[in-house]
Amino acid sequence: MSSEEETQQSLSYKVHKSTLKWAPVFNMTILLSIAIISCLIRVFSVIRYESIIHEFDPWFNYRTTQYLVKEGPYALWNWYDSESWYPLGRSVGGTVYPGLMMTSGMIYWVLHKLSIPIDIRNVCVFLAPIFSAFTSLAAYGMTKEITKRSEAGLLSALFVAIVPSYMSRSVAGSYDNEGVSIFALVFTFYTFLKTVNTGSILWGVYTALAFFYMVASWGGYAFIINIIPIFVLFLLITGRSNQRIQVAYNVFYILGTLLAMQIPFVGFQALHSSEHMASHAVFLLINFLNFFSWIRNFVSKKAIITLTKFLVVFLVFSILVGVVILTLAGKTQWSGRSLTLLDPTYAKKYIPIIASVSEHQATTWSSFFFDLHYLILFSPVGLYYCYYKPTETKIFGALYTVLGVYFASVMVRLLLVLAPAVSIMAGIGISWAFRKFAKSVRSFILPKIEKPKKYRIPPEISIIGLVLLGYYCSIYVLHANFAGSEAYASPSIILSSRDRQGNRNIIDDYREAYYWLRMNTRADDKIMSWWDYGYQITGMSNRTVLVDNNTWNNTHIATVGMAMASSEEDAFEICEKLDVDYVLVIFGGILNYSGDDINKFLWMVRIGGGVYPHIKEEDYYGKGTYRVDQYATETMTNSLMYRLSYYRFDEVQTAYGQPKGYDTVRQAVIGVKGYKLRHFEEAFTSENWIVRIFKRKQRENRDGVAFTSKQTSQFTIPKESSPVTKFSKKANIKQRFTLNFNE
Amino acid sequence: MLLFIFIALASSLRIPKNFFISNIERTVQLTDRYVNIQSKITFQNDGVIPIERIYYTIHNALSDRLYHVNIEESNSKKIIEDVDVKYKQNATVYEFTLKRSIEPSSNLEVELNEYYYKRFKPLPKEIGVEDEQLVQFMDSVYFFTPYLVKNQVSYYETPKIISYSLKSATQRNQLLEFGPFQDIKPFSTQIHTIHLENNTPMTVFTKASKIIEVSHWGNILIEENYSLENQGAKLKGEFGRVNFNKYNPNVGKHSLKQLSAQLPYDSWGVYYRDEIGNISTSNAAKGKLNGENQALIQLRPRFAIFGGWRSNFTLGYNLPTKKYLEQDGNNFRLTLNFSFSVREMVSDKYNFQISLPEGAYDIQVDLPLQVERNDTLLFSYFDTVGRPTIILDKTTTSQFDDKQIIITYKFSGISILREPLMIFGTFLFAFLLIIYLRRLDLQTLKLKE
Repeated sequence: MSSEEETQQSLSYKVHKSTLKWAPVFNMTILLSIAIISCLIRVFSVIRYESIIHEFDPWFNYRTTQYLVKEGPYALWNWYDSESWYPLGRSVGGTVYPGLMMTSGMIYWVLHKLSIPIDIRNVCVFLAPIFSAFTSLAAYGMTKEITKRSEAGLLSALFVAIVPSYMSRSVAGSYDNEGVSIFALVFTFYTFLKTVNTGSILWGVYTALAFFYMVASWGGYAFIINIIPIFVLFLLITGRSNQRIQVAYNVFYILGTLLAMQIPFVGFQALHSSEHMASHAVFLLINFLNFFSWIRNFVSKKAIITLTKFLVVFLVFSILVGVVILTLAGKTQWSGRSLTLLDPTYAKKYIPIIASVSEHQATTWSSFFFDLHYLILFSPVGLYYCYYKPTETKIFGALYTVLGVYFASVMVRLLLVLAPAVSIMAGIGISWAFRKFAKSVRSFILPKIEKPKKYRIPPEISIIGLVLLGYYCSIYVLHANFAGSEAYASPSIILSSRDRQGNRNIIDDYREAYYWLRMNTRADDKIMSWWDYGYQITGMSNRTVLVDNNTWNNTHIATVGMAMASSEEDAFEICEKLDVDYVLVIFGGILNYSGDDINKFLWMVRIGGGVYPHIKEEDYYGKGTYRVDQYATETMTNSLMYRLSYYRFDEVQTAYGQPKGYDTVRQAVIGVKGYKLRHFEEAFTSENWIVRIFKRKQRENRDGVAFTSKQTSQFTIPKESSPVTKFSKKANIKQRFTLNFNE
Repeated sequence: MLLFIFIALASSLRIPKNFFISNIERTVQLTDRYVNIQSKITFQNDGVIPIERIYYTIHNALSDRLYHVNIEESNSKKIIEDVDVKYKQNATVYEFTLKRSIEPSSNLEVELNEYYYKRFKPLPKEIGVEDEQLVQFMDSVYFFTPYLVKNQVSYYETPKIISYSLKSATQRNQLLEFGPFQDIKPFSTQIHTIHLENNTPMTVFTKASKIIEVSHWGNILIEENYSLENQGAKLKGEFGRVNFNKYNPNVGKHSLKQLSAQLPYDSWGVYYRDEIGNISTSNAAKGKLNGENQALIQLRPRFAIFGGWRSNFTLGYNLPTKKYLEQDGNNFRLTLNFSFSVREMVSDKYNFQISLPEGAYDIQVDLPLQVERNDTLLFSYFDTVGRPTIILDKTTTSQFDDKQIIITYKFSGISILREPLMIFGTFLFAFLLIIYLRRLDLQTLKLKE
């Protein structure tokens, strides 16, 4: 060996040594940078648009938070909101997961006490990015608990920080429950795994507290309360259970269930709802087995066998009887959405209101790939690693991933729950591969430290492998950056388009119309619109709505659906009974905005028809398909929705080379032209026609004998909620659409 | 038609005999949103004493619609209490001190400018989107004054005359000529009306405010809030985009589509928003206006504001302190403009609020306007004792009130470091606490591993 080589060798040893020495510093610095990046990548929406609350549900959360900081937590508890669900109203305190609002309220109060008078809107807008930083830290901890390795933790933290699926719900302004609850979810798992690893009761208490925060913030806590029992059951079956597991589960179950009951919206459901049944059963089972093994010390072997037989039969029998009794007595109940998870076709068959929400559709492959990208390729490696040399925590990680994949395939929305699992698995897998490659490279450069084994990967291949992996990871980062800056940055109430010169135009029709309502209608006017826009109208216009995104009363929504689907005369009668002053419809025929009410109309018909059978879906199909042109049926063209959407539409030219009244979304010329409205008048239409507001006229003098069809005249205002969607907290539609000006 | 004639019995205003108005020529501009009356008045002094003050009276039915009045040749103006005029004539008296007095047997021609708002009454009260806005203007035929008027001529300039009540008037195109009238007694009034077409939107601010926060670190933050209302003819019937189209300037002429604001040239970080976020339709440019460097902002409301409609908005910007704050040791002098920056608008109520840095004392305000003053404390970022805040309230404010407000105060140089030191101290304390807690051993029982 020449001297030159020797110095080179000693240099690389030095580098290796000092790197090892500074490794913890690198570790912390990288982790901190990841946390900062996860915050910054979510602020694109504020830079591209503005600091504003996005979408639909966040507007309710924002409004509730404003109420909270203004009136205090007790007032929120007792808040009976008369601005929504007219004339029923809504008891907000008992029907809301308060975790999100309490969190931002707390931040607001603490900052104000420190004399930082920040605006509550900014707290709400930036809450989700801040919590995403916490999520990446929790993911680091969780991965470390699974693998005991920091590098896997760092990779997982990076993957979680920028995974597009999570980013879609936590960009700045996306002030929704998911923003904080994904952190709560990962943190609960982290503390639980810590308890599993240490068997410490203290960490068990932390798990219960983290779980409590999760229950307080999102209905998705049901995932935790099911996956942990499944995990424990899995360990029991495979004979891997031990005392640490028992401690972890018992502390988590007892404290967690008690704490969950403290949330008014959950209350005694924590005992009798079917989502919690698995946890009760596993609790009984694990303690019973414990008891049984304790008894075994005192009885003979022969007696044990009899005892076992007897007890097993008894146990199975009692559980069966218990479940049957509870189900028959109606004490336990599956919510519509949970049933949809077990049977994906359930909602389509029975509950159109759940099926109508695009978030509740089955996930397509394209959204899997767009939202998780290369992680779906990386994570099987981690999964393999977990099964390769299983420990309790690795089994947990694997189980979480597998269950997550199932749920995510059923509902688009639950991709969000899968995203941390896949990121952690991908982190584990990639770091494992990196480690293997790095080991072989090291054994080549530093043979003294890394003893070359018989079987190892040749260093050349290792280097190629490292480069390839690095390349894939950077592609993932670029994709995530694109998703954060372009795809998910849009607040959806502000649209933007690019013209031929590449200039960005802001299309602000929603706020234009909502602000018009706020400024130029009476404070107690009632606005009827489809439920999607309820939260936005109460939030931005400060006016009373009939239905909103908290779809707790199917009948009421069906009534609005019926009004929209009925003829103008019938609709007028319904509107008068419901005290409706204005009707608001969303219309995209001018701007090629496909998420408009005509496209949603079939769901109104279906939901309306579900309660009022005289509304029949077939009546709205012309020549076998849903259409608005000359072949549209009479029922369709007479419906209030059609009449309002296309009112005076035939007087404008929308596309080059097409006749007047050409609908750019449906790509057809409308069927009925030149009609007048009798009972409604156009009050406001936004610049690009997206929002159209119509005022209900007063009944004309001596107009009492106007024709109304039999069914409507018998209709009464619903008083009680229908049980079907009793506990479905919310549902919303996230539309992704493109605007084309250039066509 | 109603006819009122008031005759002055006796006035306590010291109007000497043989001092009268020999000629008055009034030009009333009815072409705009607000009414501007320009009067050329020749005072004749046939008495023996020189005249230093002249009086301007306004009937109280109009006094709250007069947002500005001035005489070019005068030094100062003030409202004086005069019991006689107040109760007998139901009028308010302004006293103008002339720059040079009118000597006996001489005359002086002065130019009186009166600016009114809310003088037009829409008739019909409701119109459609495509209709023209017709308004009624009511005025006195004679100039309302405590002086004898020997000769008066009035001109009314309008965009388009529909009708007028004074039969003796002569119409030349869109110009009405009244008079000449001779020997009009003091406080004579005779109501006449003109029905005319005026399509300018009759918008006013029902409320406006300007909130200023001064920081000695180099920035002055200014936020202006406006409540806008169109008090013209109410919109009748439907409002849709077939009739009202942004590319067609001939419809909705009576709706407010745009406002303009003028900011200081060195303003930066301008924002234009309302309760629900940014209003995306605005333009800003820096340039020269009337020989002065200005930043011009074109503000378009979210929707065109028709009669009876309302809208609120906020305009905010920053200014560098070095241009507006002068320092002399511990003494500071701040010079800012009083009024709001949206031009050609009048506000019913106006609130001006300025917060000085925490620790400022000996505050003196110099403003050549009559305002109501209240002082308070504002707690903003990192404030412990609160910032001294001066609140000035004024009714009927326009750009004529855009006088410079000069605030002098004392502020010790160390106070500027208080807040940074406070933050520094807090963090230092927090870190020390953490270090201490990390080293604290609370274990009572040592377990062997």
